Amino acid sequence: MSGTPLVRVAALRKYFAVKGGWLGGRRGQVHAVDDVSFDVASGETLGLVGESGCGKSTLARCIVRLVEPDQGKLEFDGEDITHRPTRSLRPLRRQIQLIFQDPFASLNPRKRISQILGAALDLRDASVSRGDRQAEIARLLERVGLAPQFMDRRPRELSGGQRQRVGIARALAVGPRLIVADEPVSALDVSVQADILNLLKDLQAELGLTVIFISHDLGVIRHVSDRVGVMYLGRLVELAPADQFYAAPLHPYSEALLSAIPMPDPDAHLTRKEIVLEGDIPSPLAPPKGCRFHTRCPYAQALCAGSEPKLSTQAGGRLVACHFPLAKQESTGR
Amino acid sequence: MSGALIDIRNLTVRLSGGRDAVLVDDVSFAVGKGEVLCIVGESGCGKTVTARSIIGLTRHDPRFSLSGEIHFDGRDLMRLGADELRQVQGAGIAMIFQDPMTSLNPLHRIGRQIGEVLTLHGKHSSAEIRRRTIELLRQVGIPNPETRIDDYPHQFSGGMRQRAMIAMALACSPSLLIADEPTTALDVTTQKQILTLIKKLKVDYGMGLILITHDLGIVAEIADRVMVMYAGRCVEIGAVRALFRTPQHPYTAGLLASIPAANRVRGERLPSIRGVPPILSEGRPQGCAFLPRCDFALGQCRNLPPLRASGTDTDHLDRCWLSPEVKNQTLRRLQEGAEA
Ligand SMILES: Nc1ncnc2c1ncn2[C@@H]1O[C@H](COP(=O)(O)OP(=O)(O)OP(=O)(O)O)[C@@H](O)[C@H]1O
Ligand SMILES: Nc1ncnc2c1ncn2[C@@H]1O[C@H](COP(=O)(O)OP(=O)(O)OP(=O)(O)O)[C@@H](O)[C@H]1O
Ligand code: SF4
Ligand code: SF4
Ligand SMILES: [Mg+2]
Ligand SMILES: [Mg+2]
Repeated sequence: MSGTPLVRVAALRKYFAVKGGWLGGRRGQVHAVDDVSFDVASGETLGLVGESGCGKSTLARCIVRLVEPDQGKLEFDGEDITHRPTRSLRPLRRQIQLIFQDPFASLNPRKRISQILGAALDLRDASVSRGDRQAEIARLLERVGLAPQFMDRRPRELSGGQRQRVGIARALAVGPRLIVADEPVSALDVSVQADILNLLKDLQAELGLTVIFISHDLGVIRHVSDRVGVMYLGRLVELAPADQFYAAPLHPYSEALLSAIPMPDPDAHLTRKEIVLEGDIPSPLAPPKGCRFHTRCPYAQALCAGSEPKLSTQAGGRLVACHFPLAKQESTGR
Repeated sequence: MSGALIDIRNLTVRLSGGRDAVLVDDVSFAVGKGEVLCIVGESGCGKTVTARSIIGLTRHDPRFSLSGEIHFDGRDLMRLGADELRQVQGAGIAMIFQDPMTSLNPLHRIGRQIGEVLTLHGKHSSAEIRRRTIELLRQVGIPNPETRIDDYPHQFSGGMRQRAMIAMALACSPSLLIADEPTTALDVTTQKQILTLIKKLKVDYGMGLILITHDLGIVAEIADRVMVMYAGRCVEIGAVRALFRTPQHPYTAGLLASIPAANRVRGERLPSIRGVPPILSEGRPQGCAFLPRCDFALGQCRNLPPLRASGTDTDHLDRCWLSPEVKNQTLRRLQEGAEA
């Protein structure tokens, strides 16, 4: 990797205010994304995993600038876009596309699929003739495994996975350089999922597409990612090349995640040691002091409750935020 | 099956009005007390339509017409009027929908929506309802339920919304839970927590579960039996071990081979099943619907194969013309080849 990274996220922060309490108007702040930094090189796929509610979608929405970060810096292709005003975001939409986590909520129910994809094509190039446009829409549908007949349908007439594929086609239609994909394949059966993952690989090879891929499916993440980032309660706690990550995670939370992967084998539980996390999931309204994972970490020591570990470089260039990273010995569970 | 909690016979769902199609074709299955049946199958094969039909939701849409029988609690739900149906459901069946955002009301606080379900199922004081709601939210792993109970759906993350839906479904202590992709947006540790909760309800109260999911890892972990659907039909059904160890239908074998397992060597391309599934509204191919994509097809396949047992296991049924030898050897090898 050389030159400027396509995406640079530096100490990014996004908090949400929530009205708390039943009796009073006590307010709290959800620490959705807290001081997160990383780079993504052009053509790379970065996989992002983490507990539900840890801030992955919020981070995604910041990067595509659907929301404005509170603090920190966000660069795309060397340009600072952190606080770019909404009205001048349109050129950015042509380069960065988000595939939404919820395909039900992100497609306009009143529009036909052809209109939805047509609008996305216009964003790329509004001068295309009508005939060419129809052909291009059919081609896009085909790429995501949908027959051209779907053009005339409305989202309500599609199944969950069919809608998700329309969402993917819409992002591809724009011809972006960066796709931020938020759980793009979770509603798809494994065979269609394999087709979509293969398609993303092809596009990367053809067009040098850069992808930030969010998924809770660690099998999928392993398959697509060059590097894997792990988030916990708003923080990035580990960042590593995929192969190294799966061979030997350094953060105790990563280890617990990998040990909990459901295996497609009814007898897997007989041979596998699983790490069950004790303790309640802490609230993002008031993250624990010290290491945010210390309330549930099986390796926690006195130091962990008092001081928060910074994301720092380990041997081999891997990044981890832990006072006592797991040694590169064989870890349990797999 | 006698003593089944729910027994569905020959369920058929037709769509009329411009796009005539049979979305669900002659599907029969039963779920016993404390049993988990998982439904898997390609996107668009009719899983959601099947589930919604069981609880009578497709009845409101004049474009759908249903036939068959659904025996639950000593009655045939298909023959009940709307009011009676609602009563029976209230007393026993809950459903978790695939799309949390469209089934949660965006204008109402999460706590109020769960509270409404509790109110419907018994008279409680408002303090009692609030206490119970908080407890339910905690059970499904929402941190700080005391505060988050007053949030609106958009303030919840994708996975938190899914968990709110689960809490709402469990609020009425159903004897049968139908869950359509309930854990797709959940990380593996939260997923585990929900599955553990469901297992507990199944053991403690004998709750039956129909679980629709694409995640074959979850199926392996929680299912007692599995039904595989293709193009609106049941193509294979059997005990979970039998189905994973000796898949009898080429589609099932193909699915098992496509899993991007975290323990598999990171390959360049994932194996997938060539071709695309038929669009049901454009009419189904004659005979076996999997024919255009099947590597094993025979002349016979232009006739619809019956759903029957291929081997000695009379609970393991499939809809494929291949000989038992081919099924047991070739299909098994296909799956092992992908694992290697
Ligand atoms: N608009 C909002 N107002 C208040 N809180 C919000 C808002 N959007 C997100 N949050 C909160 O921020 C936190 C992070 O949410 P986010 O959607 O980014 O999580 P996530 O990692 O994508 O989770 P999941 O895996 O469940 O989708 C959650 O606690 C969520 O409730
Ligand atoms: N209201 C509707 N009008 C017309 N067609 C519909 C309607 N609802 C569903 N369909 C069609 O019926 C078929 C079955 O849909 P269903 O939602 O049951 O699929 P599914 O198996 O749940 O798929 P997924 O895994 O993608 O959710 C699909 O091909 C879909 O396009
Ligand atoms: S810093 Fe301590 S508590 Fe935190 S992950 Fe490392 S060992 Fe566990
Ligand atoms: S019946 Fe024929 S076409 Fe259908 S799955 Fe079996 S071999 Fe293939
Ligand atoms: Mg999310
Ligand atoms: Mg569905």
